[in-house]
Parts: sequence; structure tokens; C-alpha cells
Amino acid sequence: MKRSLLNPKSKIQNLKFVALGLVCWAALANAQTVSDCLDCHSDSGLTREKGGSVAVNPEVFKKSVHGQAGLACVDCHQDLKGVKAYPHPVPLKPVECATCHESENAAYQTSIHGQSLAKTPKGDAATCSSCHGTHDILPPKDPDSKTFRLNIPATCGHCHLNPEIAGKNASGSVAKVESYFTSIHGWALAKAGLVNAAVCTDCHGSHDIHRPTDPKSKVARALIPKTCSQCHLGVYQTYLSSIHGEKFASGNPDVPVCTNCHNEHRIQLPSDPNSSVNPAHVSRTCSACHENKALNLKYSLPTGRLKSYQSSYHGISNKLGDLTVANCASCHGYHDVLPSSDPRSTTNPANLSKTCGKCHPQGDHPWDIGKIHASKRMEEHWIPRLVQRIYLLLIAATLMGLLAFIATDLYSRLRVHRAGKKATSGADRPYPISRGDKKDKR
Amino acid sequence: MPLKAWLEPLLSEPTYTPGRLAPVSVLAIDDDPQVLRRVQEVLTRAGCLVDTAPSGPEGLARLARQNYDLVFTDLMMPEMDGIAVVKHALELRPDAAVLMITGFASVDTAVEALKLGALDYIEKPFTPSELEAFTQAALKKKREREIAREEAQGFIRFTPAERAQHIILMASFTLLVITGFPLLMPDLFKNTFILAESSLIRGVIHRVAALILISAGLYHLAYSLISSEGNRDFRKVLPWPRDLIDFYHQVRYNLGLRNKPPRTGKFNLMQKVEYFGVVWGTAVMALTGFMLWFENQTLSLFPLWVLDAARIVHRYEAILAAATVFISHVYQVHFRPDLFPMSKVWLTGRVSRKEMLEEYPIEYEELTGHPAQEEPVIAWPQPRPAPAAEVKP
Repeated sequence: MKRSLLNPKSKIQNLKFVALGLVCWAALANAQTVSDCLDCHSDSGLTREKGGSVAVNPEVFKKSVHGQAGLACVDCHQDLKGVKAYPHPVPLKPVECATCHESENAAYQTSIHGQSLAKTPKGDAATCSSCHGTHDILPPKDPDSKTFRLNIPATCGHCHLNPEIAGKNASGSVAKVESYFTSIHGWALAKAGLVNAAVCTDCHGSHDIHRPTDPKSKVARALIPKTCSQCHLGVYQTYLSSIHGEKFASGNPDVPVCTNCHNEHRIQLPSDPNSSVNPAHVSRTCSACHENKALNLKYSLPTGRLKSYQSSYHGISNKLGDLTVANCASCHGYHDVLPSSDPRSTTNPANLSKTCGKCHPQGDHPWDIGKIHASKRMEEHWIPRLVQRIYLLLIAATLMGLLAFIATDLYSRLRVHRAGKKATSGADRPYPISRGDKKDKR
Repeated sequence: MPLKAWLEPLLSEPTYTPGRLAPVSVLAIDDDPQVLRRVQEVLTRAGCLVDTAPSGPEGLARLARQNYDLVFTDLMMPEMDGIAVVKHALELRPDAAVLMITGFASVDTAVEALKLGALDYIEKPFTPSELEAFTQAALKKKREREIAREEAQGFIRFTPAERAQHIILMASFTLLVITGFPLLMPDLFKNTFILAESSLIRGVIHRVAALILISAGLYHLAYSLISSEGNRDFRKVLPWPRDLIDFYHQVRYNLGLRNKPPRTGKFNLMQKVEYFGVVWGTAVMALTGFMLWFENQTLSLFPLWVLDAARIVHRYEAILAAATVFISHVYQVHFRPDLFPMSKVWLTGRVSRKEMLEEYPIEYEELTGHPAQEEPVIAWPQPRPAPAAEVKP
């Protein structure tokens, strides 16, 4: 069953509260009331034999969702139902939330948390209480709830930012989770205070959380675009019309999904200098696939795009930090990228003057603009190629000529200098003094 | 054969020949017409061109119109005495070689005149051969004085305007190289303040320096066409076929296959190559630079490959120019053993007599009218086919 986080008052929810009320009514009629238990447990000093506190703050419980609903202690601690002798026997069985929250439990049991718990019951895997609390459970809408949207990152972070717990399972995952707090999503949540900023559960799910490698996971590759589209629906639609989205829809395993370009936890606005889609990094991001030999071979994609871009004026200026010059996305588009053969493509020959005209408004003229990405020398226009060759020859010849001449000049001056030292004085030597006649000196 | 006649001056080495020298010109000032006639007779026979003046003011008027190798003046004259003539003559022409004709009585006055800057004196009476010997000695003395002055002052090679042009060129060229170089190696400079594109300063400095360089180039063009010094130097820097032959001889000399270097004028072949390298480079870089600066206008006029070609030309011409300057020019003015660590001509505008004689002998001969030799050479008296008439002022 799927529960909408943004709309907790769905029909199902309402029905559930009605059911809960009925159960509680039955329980109350039967036996121990909350106040019976609190006679002892409200003592804040009450401990187990071994020392663990078993005190319950009556105020906290009264405010909790279960307290508000009028549930008795024994509705959860069911093994105490009907107990007459106090202190009651210990230890108690773990509380079975599933008694009431059946569908959530079903989802939890298949999740990575439930699976891990089944495998190692004494392990660190999160249980219901890890995220929701115990006697202090509040509805997710309550700003004090551990599962209130603004509090979710801290709740998940309780384990996933703890190197002793999270570090055991996947190395580096702490840093990954940490990077969320510097991301645009984390910033929007924590700094801008937007409750609709994406939090952990939006992408990963809550009770039904799975490893990203699990196809059932909301962050499994096949489901990522759909997951992001929960908020970024317009981009999703554009993406589906692009060559990447089109191939993605047909099950292609290689095309990029949202996270391939934007990153996951550390996603940033394109204007952020650290963003992988910042103009400074776009060419590197696209090259991750488009400079991959295996992929280019597999899909017969043109090669050498990056090199030709980097040697262009756009590429050089971009590298020097000018972010106004064109990068891959400026001409090819990004979410809407299409092969140039597609008439809708911004790089289709028919659309080029418009595309180039975005920056070069004077460039709208009938001439053929030639090959932009000349990966092989032969693809370049022959005149610039010839000019370059002539200049290389000219430079080589000039430099060699100059160096050779300088070498002879130096040789003759040193020769004269040495001969001049041998001669007695300058007075009896004929002109020129320093460039003396060779025969005279020997 | 006309071709041979045409080729002859190109192929033969221009050398100093005494025959090319103008005859020695003499001005004699004396109130005694007999003395004047005698001096004129003797020196004209010896091959000089002699003008005479009967009084100090008339002589000074002639001297003001025309320069003379030697000026003879009597000391005792009614209108203006010899001392005054010497003073005024040296005011008119500081290089003038003034000689005095004195009687026994006025030797003291002559000595006083020597202190004022006169060159020598001859006592009356004198025989023709005495006068000839005296004249020859005076010429030699004059030449020695000139040489001493050349030794002390050197020769003006660049005018202040030319030096200013060079400094502007040097500064703007260096700035252009520094601010353009990052484009050759973007990886190396992408994080360098100022030189990175993001700071915008790089591009602005590059364009400002380019405009300065172009302005200096246009000024140089005007200077070369309009100013007399600029025009004279521009004519001297123009390349001639002769330069190729000189270059061949220079290489042979450098390799030790020839005893003497070829004789060069104000600019040797390497300097001419560098000069026209700068002219060509400035023109090419300015043209392609403007095409890249106003890329949208370029694209509206030409296909894309023209802009590509402009970029390639701008890039490689820059490499060529920078490499030429930093290899050839830096050697020519810094690392040449006789100039190391630096030739100061770009600051002082002057070269020493020694360098002038060794490097630019033809220029020396053109400036001084004397052969480019260490020792004074007096090419007089010259055998003349017929005594020439009086020099027409």
C-alpha cells in the first residue's frame, strides 16, 4: 500500500483511525488503564534490576499520537494484558506495531531494514521505534515528530551519520549522507526552511526502503526519473522526449538518468561552482559517457568531441574560467538533447543559425558553418588546416634559422675575443679591433 | 651589358674610397688682398676649394651660409679683429676649425684665441710649402679633435621619439604576450588570478595593450613618412638585394671562411629582419585580433572557417613573434658577448665610436664623411686634373 506523505488524511488513514478507536474502546472496557501503569512508571527513578530506566513521562505519552488516541499501555505491551500481580514479570516481549500497522509492517519486512533485522536480530538495523520513537510517537505532520519532514534527515542521520553504525555496512556512506546537507535539497530544507524540499524518504521511501541495487528501490536506476519526477515533473516530461529519455523508456541500460549528470546526495544548482552541471564542468560530465570508447563503439557515436571542444576558443575560454562561452549544453541542450539528425534538435543543420544566434546574433547568414567538432584533422576546413601547417613550418624554419645564425655569430665573436686576448694591444692591430683578421692572429 | 652594370653596385661591397671625398673647402678672411690671393693660389693648386672674404663680418656671413673644412682668419683687421671672428665663428659652427694668420707681434693674441677654441696659428711670413704643410697638419688636428669628440659623445642612433616608440612597443608587446599566453596553456593558468578568463582582467589588459601597440604602430608609420629623421631611418632600414649578399658574407665570416665581416650601414640584416618582423606581426595580429574581438561582425561577413583561420593565425603568429623576439632580439641586445648584460642604446639612443666602427662602418662614413677607421686619415692633398674655380657659396 502506498501512503502519501504530503496528504496523510487520505481515506485509508481515516479508516485506520476509526479501526484503532474501536480496538481501544474494547481494550478499555476490559482491564488495566494507562493510569494503572503510570502509578509505578511515572516515577522517573524507576529502573530495571540491571539499571535501565523504565520510566514513562505521562505528559509525553499523553501528547503522543497513541496517547491522544486513548490507547492503553497494554494495547502495545500485549503480554501484560490480564496480569494481576505487580511488579509484573519481566522481561516483556518486544512491542508488535504490526498488530495495528499491518501494511507498514508488511512493507518494512521486505525493506533493507527489515531484512537486516531478520538476519541479525541483535544488529543495528532500524526498527519502528528507531524512526518513530516509543511512548513519544507523534504524527508526521507534527513539527516535533521525528518523522516531520524537517526532522527526517536528522532521524535517518542518527544511524546513517554515525560512522560506528553506517560505516560498518558501506564504506564512505557517511560522507555521502553528509553531502546531502550541503546540497541544494539540504540547503532548501535547512536554510530556506522549505518543507517541500526533498528529504531522505522522498527518494528512498520510508518503510519500503531498499538498497539502490535492488530493482524495487525507488532509487534503482530504472526508477530514478520517476522518483525525481515526483517534484520535477516538467523536467521529466522534457527528458522523456530527449534521446536519453526515449532510449531510457525503451529499456536501454546505458543512457544517463537524472543522477548521472546531477549527482545524488550532493546535487547542486547549475549556478553552483561545485555542481557537475555548472558551465565549468558540463563538458567533463558529458564526457563521462561520450568519451567512453566502449559506449561510442557500441552506439556508433562520434568520437573526439571533448578534444575538439577543448581546442576550440569556446573550450579554451571555458577552461580559463569564462562561463559565458558555449559548453556542450549551450548548443545541444540538456534535458531535451537530441541527435543532430533529428529535425527537432538544436544542432540540426536547419536550426543551427538559431542555436548559434543565441550568442552570435550576427551569425545568421546563409553560409555553411562547416564542421564544429572536427575530431580528425581531415574534418576541418582545409584553409585553416593549411594555414596552421604553413605556420608550423614557418615557426620551425625561423627558429632554426635564428638559432643557427646566433650560433655562428657567437662562435665568431668568441673566436675574435680569444684572438684579441692573445694580441699584445689594440694599438697596432688594423681595423676592426675586435673582429680582427683571422690570418693576422694565427 | 646593362644587366651587369645594374647588378654591379648590388653585388660589389661598398667601400670607402678617398676619391669620393669632397675636396677640402677653405675660407680665408683677411683685410690684406695680397695675403688672400696668396693663400688662394697656394691651396687651390694643392686641390682645395678656397673662398675669400675681405673682412670679419663678410667671412662670418659666408660661414653662416656654408660650412668649411678650414677657416683662416687674420688677427689684425680694422672692422672686426680676429678674436671676435674666432668667437663668432665658433658660435655659428661649434665644429669649425679656425686657423689664425698672425704677424710676429700678435702671437700673444693668437695664443689667447687658441684658448677660445681656435685650432692653430701660422706666422707670417710663410712659404707655399709651409702653408701646405700647415694646412695638412691642421686638417689632421681637426680630425683628431673630431675623433676625440666622437669618442666622448658617441653617435646618435635613435632619436628620443624613436626611443619612446621602442619603449611603448616593448611594454605593450610584453603585456600582450603575458595576457595572451594563458590561451595556449589553459590548464596551467586556469586558477591564476588576472590571467584566468573569469577575472575578465586578462582580456581587458590584452585589448588595451593591443590598442596601445596599434597606436604606436600608426604613430611610427606617420613618423616614418613625415619626420625627416624617421624618414631617413626608414629608408635605411628598407631591405636591398645587397643585404642578402651581405648575409652570405656575414655567415662566411662567422664561420671563419672570410677575413672581414661585410660592411653594413645603420641596420644590419638581422635588424632589418627583426624590424619587418615587427611590422608584419603587428599588421597580422591587429587584423586577426580585431576579427576575434568582434567575432559576431566577422561571422556576419565571413563563413566560420575564416574566423577559425584568424584564430589559428593569431595563435601561431603570436608564437612566432614571441619566439623571434625572445630568441633573436634578446640575443642581439643582451647576450651578445660585447653587449652583455644589456645594450643601453634603447635608453641613451647613442652608440660608442668603437661599436659604430665595428658594426655600422658605412653609417659612420655617411655621418662623418671619413673612412671608418680607428686612426685619422687625411686624404689631402688630392691630385686634381684641373684647378677648380672658386666655390660658389
